[in-house]
Amino acid sequence: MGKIIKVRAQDAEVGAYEKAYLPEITKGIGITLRHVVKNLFGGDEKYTRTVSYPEEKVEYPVRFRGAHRLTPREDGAPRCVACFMCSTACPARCINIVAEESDDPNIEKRPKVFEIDELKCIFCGMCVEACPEDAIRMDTGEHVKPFTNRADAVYGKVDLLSMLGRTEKNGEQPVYRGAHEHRARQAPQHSPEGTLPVQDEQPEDAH
Amino acid sequence: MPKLNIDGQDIEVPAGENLVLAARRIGVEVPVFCYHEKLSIAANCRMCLVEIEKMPKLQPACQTVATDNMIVKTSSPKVIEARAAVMEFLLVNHPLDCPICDKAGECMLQDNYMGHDGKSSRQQDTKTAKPRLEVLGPLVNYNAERCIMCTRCVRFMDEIPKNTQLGVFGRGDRNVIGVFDGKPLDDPYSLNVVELCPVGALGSLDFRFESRVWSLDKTNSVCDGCSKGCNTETHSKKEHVYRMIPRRNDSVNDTWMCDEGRLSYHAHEEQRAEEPLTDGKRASDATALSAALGVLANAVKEKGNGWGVFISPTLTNEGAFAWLSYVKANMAQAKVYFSGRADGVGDQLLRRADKNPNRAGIKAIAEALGIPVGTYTDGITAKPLRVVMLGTETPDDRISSIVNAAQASLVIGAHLTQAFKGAKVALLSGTVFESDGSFVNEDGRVQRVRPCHGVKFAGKSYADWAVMLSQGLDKAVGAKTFAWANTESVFADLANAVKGFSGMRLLGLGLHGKALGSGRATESPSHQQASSPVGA
Repeated sequence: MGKIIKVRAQDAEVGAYEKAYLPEITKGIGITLRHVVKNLFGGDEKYTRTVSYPEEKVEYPVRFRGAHRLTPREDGAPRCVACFMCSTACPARCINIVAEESDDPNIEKRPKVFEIDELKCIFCGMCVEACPEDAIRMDTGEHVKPFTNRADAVYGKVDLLSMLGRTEKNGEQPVYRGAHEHRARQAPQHSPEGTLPVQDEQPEDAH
Repeated sequence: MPKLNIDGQDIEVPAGENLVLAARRIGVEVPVFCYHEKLSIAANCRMCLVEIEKMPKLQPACQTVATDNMIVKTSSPKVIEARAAVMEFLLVNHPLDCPICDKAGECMLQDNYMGHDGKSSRQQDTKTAKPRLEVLGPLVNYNAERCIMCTRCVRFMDEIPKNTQLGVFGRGDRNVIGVFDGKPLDDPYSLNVVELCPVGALGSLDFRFESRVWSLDKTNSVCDGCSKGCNTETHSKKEHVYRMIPRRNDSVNDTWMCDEGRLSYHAHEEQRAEEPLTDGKRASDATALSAALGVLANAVKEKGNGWGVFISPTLTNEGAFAWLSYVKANMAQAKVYFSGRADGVGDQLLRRADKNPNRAGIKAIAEALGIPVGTYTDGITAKPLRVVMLGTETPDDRISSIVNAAQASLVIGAHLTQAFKGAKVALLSGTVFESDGSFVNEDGRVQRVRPCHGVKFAGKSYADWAVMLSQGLDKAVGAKTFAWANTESVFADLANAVKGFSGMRLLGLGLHGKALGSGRATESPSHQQASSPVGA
């Protein structure tokens, strides 16, 4: 057992001046008044600003973790390969994925269902860190939109794909990094019914 | 009994034991890929290399028999370097597509990399491209890029089902595992190669992309597909069973299991009855219950005279004991018959023609209670007009038609079969994945069935025995009642009443079960090796 050290909290020393009450209060109110006057009549020296939200918006910092989105491949399909890394990493367990076979034999696996329950989400960004394909990002710079029933808070694959990141919004070409870029080479055509490819059909780079 | 020294510890091992097993005795795990205890030794992966004094080169531990005065080092610098080199070679052409590989999480390549290599790849050339989705048979697919050519699958097919359907084709880095022209991998034991595969090369088409393995809850249970009673690990998640894989039990199934048993969970889920029925229509729990009590009250009043009781050998021992006790006490003149699944295909290895998991257990219980149980074909002339049926898995049309034609019928079961739909009253019980209890396999081994994690009783259903008490069916007018608090207490009464079970406790059955009649003798923990994953 560790030793228990008892510490007694000590109040700040209060002298006769502080006990007189009024001088200290006057000082405090004085500071407040100074700010009020400066910001009301200060002209160029105004430093607080009120915006007329929602017509006028303040842009969030670049690293702000906003609503999630799924990033697209060139053909518009999600880059996601349904590896479940995000849902495994998610501490709030808000990501629901159902995987299916992809039409493209070089991709193999893709999400049939990809849902994020934004009500459960704690916006920690672990899903983004876990993703090996750069398929999920929180770079929309937007809040999750308000909703009136719980079902609306579950964003599906289409909702998540339809959102744009800051780069796209600024009209720039986004750069994605993912594991499958390394797999860009074509696999040999798989032969149906389990027959084996004849040796001659092996690609040239098989050596 | 050779005496040798492994990593500084002197041990004595049985003659003929290899160094992997010898090292395991002192808690040293030698990493392996191609070695499997139940298969012949190929020694081709070279992962198990160990240093043996006075031998010039490192030796594969799996192929080296422990001999007297051997001094073995399993973690000398030389061995550690060799293992890392082997791992590097195995990974040279490995695609590292773990994110989309169904083996990830139970992959020996991942485990051994973390344990014995841990370095980044130095491979700079393009990796060999090979077919990624080769369909070898109705249930198995093959990804040649992931394969490390350990030949476990080939050896399995040669040695266990003795049906050579797989072979190694090609040489060098072009070699692949494959089937012979026009002969798909359709053996009834084909799915065993999926667990055997130490990497993700062979995959089950049934489980493909269904779930990641680490998110599944594992339950040690028993397959109810036939009377063999193979030990299983049932993997479930959120109320659904995703797969059943074999669990090692050297007294029953070694480390194997048939495809039919592995896929049997589909039928349970598809046929699951979820609501009680009266006259084939959905009924509220209260309506169905009062109707059932009416049927039982008549049966008790007539002391079972003219009543037929069909008992399914898919019931657990506890269910059978509870209901047979009820029949004995309240409906003594009723005739009891076996219903249950029809016979299927059997073979010498694991599959048995009797597709019911607990015929042996119910026979023993019925014998002890003095109730003769016949099969329905045993020269029955008069059809029973009033029927109580326990367990609904009965594809036998004759039994279904008797139940459907009966003046009064009470059916208790988990499956929406013809008999369940046609009964006057049908109440719900639990499936093998939901209930706790025990089965006796054809060799007389009492084995525990455990409810799967997360799989809840559908609707208002209970375990076979608990239907009686939880629903209050024992309170039918004039019936003798029973008082059991839980499955253990039913089993305790069963152990007192039935000779073969004496001395056993449900919780004392352990992972590997106990032979009938061995109650007290084997109360100590089983000597068998603790249940380990099949791949190990």
